[in-house]
Amino acid sequence: MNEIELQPVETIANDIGPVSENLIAILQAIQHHYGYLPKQALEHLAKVTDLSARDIAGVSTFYSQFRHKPVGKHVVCVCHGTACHVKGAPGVTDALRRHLKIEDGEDTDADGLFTVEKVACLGCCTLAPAVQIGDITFGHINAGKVEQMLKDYLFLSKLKEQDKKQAKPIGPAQGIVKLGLGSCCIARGSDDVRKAVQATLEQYNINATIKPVGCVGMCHQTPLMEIELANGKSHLYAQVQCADVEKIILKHFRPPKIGKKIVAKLRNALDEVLSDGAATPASHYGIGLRDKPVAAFLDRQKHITTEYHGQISPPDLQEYLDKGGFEGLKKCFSHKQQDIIDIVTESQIRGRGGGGFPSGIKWQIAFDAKAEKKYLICNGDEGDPGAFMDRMLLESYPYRVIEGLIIAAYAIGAHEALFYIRAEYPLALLRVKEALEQCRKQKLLGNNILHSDFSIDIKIVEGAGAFVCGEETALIASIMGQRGMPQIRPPYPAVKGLHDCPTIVNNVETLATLPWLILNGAKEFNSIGSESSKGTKVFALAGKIERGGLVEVPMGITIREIIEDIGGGVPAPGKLKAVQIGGPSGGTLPGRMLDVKVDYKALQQAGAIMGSGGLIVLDDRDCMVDIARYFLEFTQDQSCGKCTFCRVGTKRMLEILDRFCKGKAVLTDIDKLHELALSVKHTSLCGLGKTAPNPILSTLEYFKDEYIAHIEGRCPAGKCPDLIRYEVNDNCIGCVMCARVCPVSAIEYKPYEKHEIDTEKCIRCNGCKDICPEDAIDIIS
Amino acid sequence: MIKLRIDNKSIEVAENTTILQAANSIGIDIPTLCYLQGKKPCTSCFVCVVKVQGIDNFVPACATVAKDGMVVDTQSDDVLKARKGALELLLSDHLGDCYEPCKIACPFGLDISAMLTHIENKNDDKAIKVMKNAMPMPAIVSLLCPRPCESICRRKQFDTSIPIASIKIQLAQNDLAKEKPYTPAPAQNIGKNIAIIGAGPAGLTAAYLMTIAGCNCTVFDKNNKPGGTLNDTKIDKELLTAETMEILEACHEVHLSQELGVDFTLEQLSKDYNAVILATGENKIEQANLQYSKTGIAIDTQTHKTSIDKVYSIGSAVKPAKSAVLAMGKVKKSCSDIISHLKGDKIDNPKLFNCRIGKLNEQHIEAIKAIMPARPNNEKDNILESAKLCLHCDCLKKEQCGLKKYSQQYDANFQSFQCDKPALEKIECEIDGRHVIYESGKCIKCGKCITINPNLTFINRGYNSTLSPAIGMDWPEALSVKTDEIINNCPTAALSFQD
Ligand SMILES: Cc1cc2nc3c(=O)[nH]c(=O)nc-3n(C[C@H](O)[C@H](O)[C@H](O)COP(=O)(O)O)c2cc1C
Ligand code: SF4
Ligand code: SF4
Ligand code: SF4
Ligand code: SF4
Ligand code: SF4
Ligand code: FES
Ligand code: FES
Ligand code: FES
Repeated sequence: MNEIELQPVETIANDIGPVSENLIAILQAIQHHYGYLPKQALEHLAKVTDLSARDIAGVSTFYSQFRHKPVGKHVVCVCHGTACHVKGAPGVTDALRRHLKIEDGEDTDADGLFTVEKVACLGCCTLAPAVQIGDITFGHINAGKVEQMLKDYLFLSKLKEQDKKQAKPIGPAQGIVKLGLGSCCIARGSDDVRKAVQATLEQYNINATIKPVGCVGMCHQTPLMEIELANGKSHLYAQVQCADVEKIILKHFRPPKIGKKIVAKLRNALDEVLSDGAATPASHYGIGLRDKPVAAFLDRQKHITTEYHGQISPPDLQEYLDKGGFEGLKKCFSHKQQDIIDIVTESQIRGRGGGGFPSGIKWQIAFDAKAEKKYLICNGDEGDPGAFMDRMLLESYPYRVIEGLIIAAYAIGAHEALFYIRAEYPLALLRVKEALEQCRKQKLLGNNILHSDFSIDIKIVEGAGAFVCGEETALIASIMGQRGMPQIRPPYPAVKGLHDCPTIVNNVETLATLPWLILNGAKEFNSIGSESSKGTKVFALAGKIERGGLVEVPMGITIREIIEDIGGGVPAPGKLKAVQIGGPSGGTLPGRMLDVKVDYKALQQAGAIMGSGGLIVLDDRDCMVDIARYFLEFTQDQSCGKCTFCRVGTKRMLEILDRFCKGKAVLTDIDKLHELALSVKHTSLCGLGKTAPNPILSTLEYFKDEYIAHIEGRCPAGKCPDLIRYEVNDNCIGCVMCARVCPVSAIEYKPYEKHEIDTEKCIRCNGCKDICPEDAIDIIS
Repeated sequence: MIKLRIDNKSIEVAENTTILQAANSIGIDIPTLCYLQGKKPCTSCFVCVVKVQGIDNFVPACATVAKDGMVVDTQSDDVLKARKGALELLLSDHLGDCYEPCKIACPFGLDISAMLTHIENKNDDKAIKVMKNAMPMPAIVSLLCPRPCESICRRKQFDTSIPIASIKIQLAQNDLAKEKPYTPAPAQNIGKNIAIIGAGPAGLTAAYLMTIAGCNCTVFDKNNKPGGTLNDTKIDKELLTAETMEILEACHEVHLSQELGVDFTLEQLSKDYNAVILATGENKIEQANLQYSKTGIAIDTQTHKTSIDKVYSIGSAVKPAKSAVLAMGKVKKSCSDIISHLKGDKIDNPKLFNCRIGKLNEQHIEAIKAIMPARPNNEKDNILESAKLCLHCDCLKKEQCGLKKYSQQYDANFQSFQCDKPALEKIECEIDGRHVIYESGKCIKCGKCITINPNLTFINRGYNSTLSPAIGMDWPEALSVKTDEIINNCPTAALSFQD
């Protein structure tokens, strides 16, 4: 190994403070400096500080974020979230590795240029499969597009280097141009649209303000641009492209300098663009809020947690205050703590983090506990690989979450609170950091806030990539700078948590609901929802669905309403087969059970769970065994490794599922899998192990026939590579595109003739099927 | 005080008592592998699970605090099944042979690895002891044996098997050449007089082993010399005489040239002796009331009793065997059953739990190659030198291992999953003059050693977690702290002394 400069290690440690609680932060900073964690740096850290040498070894290898090998110049993050998985992410990773000639067991190409990593949901599921390189996100990638994508990236990143200068906002507002700048909007190019808007406004000297807004929820329509004129009228444009910006702007704002004629001409041109939807697939069109699909998307929703969605600028504290922000907290201060707890108990709100524990009861325990210190933790670890609600809430409504956090802290009597946010959410971290700064300035944090006698401070702790750290006892271990190993409960954190003090851990969404709940009261809140579940729930709707995105729905709504009314159903020619609810802890319900209500009890009875809110729609091209395997691969990888059933049991289940997917399972494997799934469920220490078997149990219950088909060597959905082959049908026009794209030359060039696939050579990359313009490639199982 | 019920027994315990402590206090045994008394529970192994009424899941007894009114079940079928499940999962991720494959193959179950260790340590007397405690007539047996031990010997996969039989012959001959060859001292006399009819391979084996076990054996044979069918083999007559006479000399009485039905009767013997054992070989005997099966004398398979009271039968008289040695091996087991029966003990031969590595994968082969002892150059001059080649495939802690103990008790199957075995990794270090071994494939991630020794930690996560020294430390340094304590507490042979 090369000698490395070790001095920075000491500096970093001393800057952050070399105490065990800061270990993760120190390791993150060291990694930031070197690009990875060089062994010498870690040894040096142990030598020059009092940090425990064994913790350094243990912690630096526990969290996925930490790398022990040098990283390539560019990191290619292939999303392996649920939505991307069902749309072919594994094939993308394979193609990338093949293209970059990355050896087995390695993740970086020989030149050290690209490192390929699998990451959890990038928060732009509507673009699935998504790939993020640097700060550029590419959507709808498949095996055939990989090479071009890398080329594009290198080109674009050069451009970006050159284009660093920032323009100043212009004049007093004639109107406002609102642009969605949530993660998925940015991924879809809204940042480029923003630049185009800016350039246009500058060029024509139009006095309009650009206002970045948080996620609107309509991620399927992004980039979204809303023009709000001085007269109060507003116009919403969806799927805006940079090329359209000029026309749209000119349609609504009159530039002082150009003559009417030109404007008219430009407006006509715009009409052309907007009306030619029939000829080319409508990639950009104007929509009014009363347009049918949008109305459907929005009408069935109920915005409590996401109140003022798309209307407020996330970092703007004043705007939040203008819209009634911190009124809930003010109201609290005129009540006794017990009153607040009573409101929350009466509202029957249950935790939105997956466990569904009644928040009021939990608070009461912590409130009643006698202790010098109490803590409140906002759990923003969001680990479900197919969900991004909490991230969106943190990015778009940071003040609301902070207000909720302070309300909860006040209620239980905690004067210290923490945000635990995963490091993979840089934008969320940034927004919360900025928001806390603002709050501190406005005396919404610190001593005697809002002139009350309540004082509080809030800190941010960054997670380092471990799903299990979402579990509250593991989360506390992680905050302490330890390996994220769950502890047996009882004692519950509400009694004995952080620093052995009573600690309440609440989910982001739970907290974000509180301001509305307090302001509107328990009655108002629990008038929404069903018998056992009150209020609303935010879901990340994705997969094989027309209109994906974030939706906030009243409890008690049926899954069918979400999918068909809000989501617009499955895109043709697919047929709805199942919905996966609750991610790796949840279950897969068959299409015939769509009338199940969004309700803790009803979902559990059906074999799914409310979970954290991932809702993935699956169609007839999705293999249920593959889905179960996908989730098991995730949980197996994320198990902390403490207890036998979870550590070894999930591995053994994954191996059995592997055999199914390879067609090597036998009939007795079904019973074996079932029995093992039940014992892991009933004999694991924490929720991860207890719920990991759910994806298996539900698919075994509802889709046993698919398991049996796999034993017989068939994958009815045509998904499992070992059980399918590709064939060219008579549609083939001999365009040679498939032959060109095939990475292993399994297709011979035969211009103007029907092509043939050499099954022996074929590696089932799906490249030919993706590229074929005539739908001439069949998958046979 | 907390009142609860465990297995239908009411019990009162102090506040903050765990279910494990409560159960132990009334003599209920709950298995534990990761529990360290007085330390914060690791709750890793989950073999201590019990069922608490009202809780769906199983809970670990070691870390669940007893609550007033709790109703606990520690022995129901589903609890036992859950424990077995935990053991089977642990075993599926466990790499080791409790016993060396050659020992398992040996018809007499000879502790070959231990025997070879003694030879390596130049302690031939101890080696002879191990050998002769396990089998009669070691030279003859080794000469006639089809040598299943050598066929299975692990070293064979690398170069040649250990010449186990030849080593034994050499050992036995060295022993015979001594003025006073080694004879195992008989156990305390159990006061049973046994008549053994037939001084062939079966009869001699029975006489030898039952004498060692503390019986008074009287041997009858119709011929004027012992050995029976052994006399028809190519065994050197002198050796034959030497090893057979050694047995007869240790017997209570010997009656040669005495034929059943001619010189004495069964009726008479069964009056004079506590038991009569027919070791008459394949020749049919004329005896009223003695029933025959298809293969030979009919017996009760458990007790070896024939249709006549107090009369037992063993060896090829019951069923002919492929080789004399295999028959003698079976006789060894029959004798122990008969003795148990005579003593009135329950005969139960639970299948000995033995975890096996089975087929080595490529990684295992490479790892073994790296640590395999080199061939000594004087092998040809002295066959005993070949003992040094032994890989000692058996486990260093087979006597103490908790995983093995409970796997035996709960009848766990180490092959209940079809999966790859963990890698073979063996770390050896000298600490305070003792040889300390860490075998990662045997670690069950119980976490005890980490609780005890601050230099150790787990690294990685989940299925990939392994034990490791702290950063910047090597194994010898890490293991030199509280060495005895971690090794004694390690529930498997992941950490052990090799002495
Ligand atoms: C493996 C695992 C992962 C979890 N991940 C999260 C998470 O990412 N976010 C979250 O809020 N809760 C998560 N939880 C639930 C937390 O343990 C805890 O119940 C929750 O944060 C409590 O907040 P709530 O009552 O507001 O839901 C997870 C639980 C388990 C077992
Ligand atoms: S169930 Fe899994 S994640 Fe939870 S403690 Fe056990 S091993 Fe760790
Ligand atoms: S023939 Fe096979 S390997 Fe070639 S492009 Fe098609 S699916 Fe991929
Ligand atoms: S550690 Fe225990 S179970 Fe494993 S091989 Fe040794 S004795 Fe057998
Ligand atoms: S190497 Fe030694 S212990 Fe292993 S099978 Fe051969 S003789 Fe037996
Ligand atoms: S080495 Fe340590 S963790 Fe592994 S089994 Fe032994 S005591 Fe347990
Ligand atoms: S962006 Fe890939 S699953 Fe969400
Ligand atoms: S992040 Fe842009 S609409 Fe969801
Ligand atoms: S979990 Fe209780 S002894 Fe291991």
